[in-house]
Amino acid sequence: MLIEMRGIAKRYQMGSHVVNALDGVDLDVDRNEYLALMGPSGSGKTTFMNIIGCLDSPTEGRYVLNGEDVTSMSDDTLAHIRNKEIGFVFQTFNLLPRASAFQNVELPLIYAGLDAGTRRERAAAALEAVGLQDRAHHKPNELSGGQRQRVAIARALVNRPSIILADEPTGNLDSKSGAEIMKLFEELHARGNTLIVVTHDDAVAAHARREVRLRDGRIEVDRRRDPIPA
Amino acid sequence: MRPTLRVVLEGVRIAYHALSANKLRTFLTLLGNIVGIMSVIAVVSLLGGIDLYMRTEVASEGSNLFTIRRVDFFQAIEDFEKFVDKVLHNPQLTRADAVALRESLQHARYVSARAAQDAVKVSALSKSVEVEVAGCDAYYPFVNEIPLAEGRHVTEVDDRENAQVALVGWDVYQALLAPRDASGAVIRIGNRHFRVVGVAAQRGKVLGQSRDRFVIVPLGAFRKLFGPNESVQIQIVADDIRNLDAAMEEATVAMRIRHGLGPRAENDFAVSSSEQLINLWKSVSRGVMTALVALVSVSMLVGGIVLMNTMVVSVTERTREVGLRKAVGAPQGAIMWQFLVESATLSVFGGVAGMAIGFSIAAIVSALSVLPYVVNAAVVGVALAVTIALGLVFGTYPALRAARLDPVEALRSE
Ligand SMILES: Nc1ncnc2c1ncn2[C@@H]1O[C@H](COP(=O)(O)OP(=O)(O)O)[C@@H](O)[C@H]1O
Ligand SMILES: [Mg+2]
Repeated sequence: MLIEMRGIAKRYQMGSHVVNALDGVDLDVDRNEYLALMGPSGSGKTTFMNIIGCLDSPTEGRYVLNGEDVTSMSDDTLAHIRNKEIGFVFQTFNLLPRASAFQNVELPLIYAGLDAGTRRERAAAALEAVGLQDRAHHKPNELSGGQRQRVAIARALVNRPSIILADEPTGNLDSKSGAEIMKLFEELHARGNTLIVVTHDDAVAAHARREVRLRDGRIEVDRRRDPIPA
Repeated sequence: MRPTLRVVLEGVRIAYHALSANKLRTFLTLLGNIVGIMSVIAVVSLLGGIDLYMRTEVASEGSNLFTIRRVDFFQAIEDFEKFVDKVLHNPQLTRADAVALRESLQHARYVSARAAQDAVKVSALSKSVEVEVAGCDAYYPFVNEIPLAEGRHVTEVDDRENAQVALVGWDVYQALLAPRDASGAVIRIGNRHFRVVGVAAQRGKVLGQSRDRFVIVPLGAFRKLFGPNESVQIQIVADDIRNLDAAMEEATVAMRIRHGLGPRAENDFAVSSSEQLINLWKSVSRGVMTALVALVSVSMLVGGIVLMNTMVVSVTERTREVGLRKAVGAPQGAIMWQFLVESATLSVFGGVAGMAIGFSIAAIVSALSVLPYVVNAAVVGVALAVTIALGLVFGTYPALRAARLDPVEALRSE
């Protein structure tokens, strides 16, 4: 089992009352699953994703990732785990504006402490995997939205993580670019990657093999199904 | 995590971008550093120049020589009011004083009276130069080393008879008389004609200043040229270096008696050896250095605080970037070093600008004065080290702030 979560809760004290962003969630995810995390706005999707991605720690519960209990690890250990195990794809891409596509993709490898030669090889391979090998030296503002998101996906892939986490990856894209991104995800899944995609778009979720729906911080639906052909 | 070359280069690059993106803000940020380092470089270079000048020019006078002057010009540095008072009230030193000292002093080997005038026009035929003209008694060759290239010195007989004769420095000979024979040639000083009796051998340059631009005439003839009121200075060579202090004491007492000073009265003349001059200079330069350290500390402190503020702004502006870096695995140390390197780089940019200005000031001053231009490699190293340290120290708070940002919050920020 890649992800084992038991009783995960995230509570925020807002003045006198408590906001239960997540309120006791259990989740198991296997290798090479393709999971869509759905739910209305404010249901806790982003909070959940941050916890899965070790960006955030739960207030309660136990989280074992890839056999390691990550529930109460130090900041730097979590950073190390994110570097090794997690590839993030954000709705707003979050590329460094002054760095080239190549340098953006290279970033996780720097923090992994790899030497320049290895970094160059792997970053080039990741850019190739998203079809942007000929855009390596472009700055983000010289790329279209779809291309930017592909750079971000290459960055998520580059350190060969256990899970790719995408929060509304097509939210800022036109439908054609969005479709391209979803096609890319299909390919990554076919190559054995594990994907968790947060979305409220049924068309996006339709690509996934499993659907988890949140409502008010709890899992309302968790079902496996065949993908609907695009 | 220690800063790798990559982190350093990245920091330099980011600092450079920040620098060029908002030049005015950067300039204001770095003003403290610029002023601080500029003062250090300028003052240290100038002190170095004065120091070299003192050591070569003053110390070359010879260590058992001392001089009695009407006023002590170094007093102007120590106590300016007193200096002015002395300029106004100290009596003239005369040739008679020199004669009396020559007769009475036990430990004096030679006593020589000398007066001098700078930038005097000396001409021969159609050519002219502006040089120092000195009036000397016959003892000057024993007190100052002036080897001859040709002819003879001004002698006691010349002096007694107020002869209109002159010994010219090598440059003066070259400019006015060469290639003609010097002996018997006539030069004109003011409205008087002087017969050249000798040419001093070339002494060369010290600190870029020629030491061959002078004319020596008998003191009496000098008086006729420039009037009788100019005070002389009396140069005395002690009979032995070990007796220098005793000779100075003796001369002081003799002068006090000649001036009729009571036991409580201050000296109304100044006795100084080159040794003393150098010691005085050392204490003056120490004082200047202390003041400098205070000035520089204040401006660097202000510079550091402004730099810290700029870095806080820089961190705030790049909160999202920090969040992203953390999301892809940057440990706190890496973020910390990223901003520390950036802050140190900014600081060093300021330091380098300050150095450039400081060295320019020193170069201009030395071009306009007799002071040599001295580049002190140590001070460059210290200035760099200080600016780096400043950047690190005042960059620590903003860097820590960045390192401790919560990645979730940071990614959510606009
Ligand atoms: N830092 C926070 N402080 C207080 N409340 C928060 C914070 N982060 C999220 N929440 C609350 O938790 C709930 C879930 O938020 P979120 O996970 O962003 O939902 P979603 O991504 O599904 O829209 C919301 O009610 C939100 O207001
Ligand atoms: Mg959300």
